[in-house]
Amino acid sequence: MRRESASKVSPAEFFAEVRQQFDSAQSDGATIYEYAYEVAGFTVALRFLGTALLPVITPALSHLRVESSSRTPPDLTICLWDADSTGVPLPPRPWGENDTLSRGDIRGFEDPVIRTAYTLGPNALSMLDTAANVAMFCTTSAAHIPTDYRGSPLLVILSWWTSIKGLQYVHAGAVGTPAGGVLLVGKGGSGKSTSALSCLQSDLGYAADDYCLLDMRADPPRVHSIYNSAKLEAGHIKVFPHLLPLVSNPDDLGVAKAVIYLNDHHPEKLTRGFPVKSIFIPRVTGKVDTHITPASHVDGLRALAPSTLFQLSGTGGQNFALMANFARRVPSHFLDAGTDLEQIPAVIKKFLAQA
Amino acid sequence: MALRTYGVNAPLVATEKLDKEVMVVHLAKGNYYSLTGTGAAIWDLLTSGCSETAIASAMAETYTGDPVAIQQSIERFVSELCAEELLVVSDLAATDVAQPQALPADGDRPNFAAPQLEKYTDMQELLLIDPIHEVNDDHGWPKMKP
Repeated sequence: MRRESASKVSPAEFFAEVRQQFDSAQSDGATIYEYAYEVAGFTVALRFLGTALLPVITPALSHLRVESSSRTPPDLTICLWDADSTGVPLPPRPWGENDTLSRGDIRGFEDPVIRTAYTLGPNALSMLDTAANVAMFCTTSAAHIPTDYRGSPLLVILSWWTSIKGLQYVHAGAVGTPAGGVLLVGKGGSGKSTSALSCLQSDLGYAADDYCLLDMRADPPRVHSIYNSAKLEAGHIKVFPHLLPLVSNPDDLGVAKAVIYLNDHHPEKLTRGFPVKSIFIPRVTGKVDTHITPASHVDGLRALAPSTLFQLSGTGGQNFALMANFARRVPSHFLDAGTDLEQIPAVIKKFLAQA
Repeated sequence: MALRTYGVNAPLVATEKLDKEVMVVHLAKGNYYSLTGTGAAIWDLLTSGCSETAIASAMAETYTGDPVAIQQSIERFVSELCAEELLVVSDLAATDVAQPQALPADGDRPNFAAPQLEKYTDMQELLLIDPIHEVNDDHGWPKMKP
């Protein structure tokens, strides 16, 4: 049976409290560090209170950075701080201890304008005022943010906001050329990252290995890069020995995935996006050779939708419908990935040349 | 009971049909499901407001098989869908429901195949909340254990 939260503070009131914390600190003379990024054609401004979150949030987005312009208001402004380094506490939590649900959703704290999520692990509060296009991100400490999260920062806020703009965050990798590419879909461990990273030594561009944006307004649909990070299970990084020196977190590979910020090392390999020619569903075969076989539309949807829906706060039927529409419009193929990794980009390139 | 009608357990459950296959996702449980053949056809009729009795009649006209066995098979299927919390009982009275159309059948009437619900649970772990936290009473917010 559904249990409603006992909160007497509305989401709008709580957003105002959170924003007041940030604004008061600024009024009191705290330094704000502002960075701007172009995400799928929109300008997103990040306003950091203090410096502790800068190395946590900005590396994965660095390939999208643009010069800040005071004359052009950003499409979205995100205010960020951590309590430990700034001394600016979070307002008292208005919901009960047990109201934090999976995906970071808050029981009984839904609102048509104000979106709220609390992500355990990074201990991150994410809020978005959809009417004002202003978001708040605050955490107890930058040190609490796991390496995995640093590879795909601000996932919740950017997912909410881009959804309003008609874009869909998807749990997928993407590689291709300006003329077209493929979306690599499947749950964690299915071979998305291996397939995407195997393309770094080819002339295919790298858009994502974990999350990217689908733009269904385009025909054919386009994918947009959001993060330049690459994540690999620690035990799997040895498959790419040339990438080992690039790992950003060599000291915590025992507990976290290896994260590489490609913009720091191979910016020429990154692409902002491309038209999607096919959904590719990697399957690790253990055999040497790589080949593709046709898959059904529902195979593509089954590999794409659940892992996206079960991870992103606030997603539901509309997002599922959008992904189903995408799966109807774009053909799907199984990518039976072999152990000779050089064959993977070759097979993708051959497909794209014929698509 | 057989005149009862059902609806999708929205917003916890989302469903889409591609080609002839229905995919159903339970967003709170982390399960997803596949329905094909008679399962997909019966799901379509159930979520259109048809009663089990009306669906059983339509199936008996479209397929060969013992009408009683068809009825029982559909009732078991509906029970399974409800047990998985994919369907909920609708407020619509049986007289308000849409009447099922004759179901397509190629050539001679085929044998009735019992509807199957294929369930996938491999992504449930994505919905598990990280338990490694404790509450800081001063601020009222979870705090990672050192």
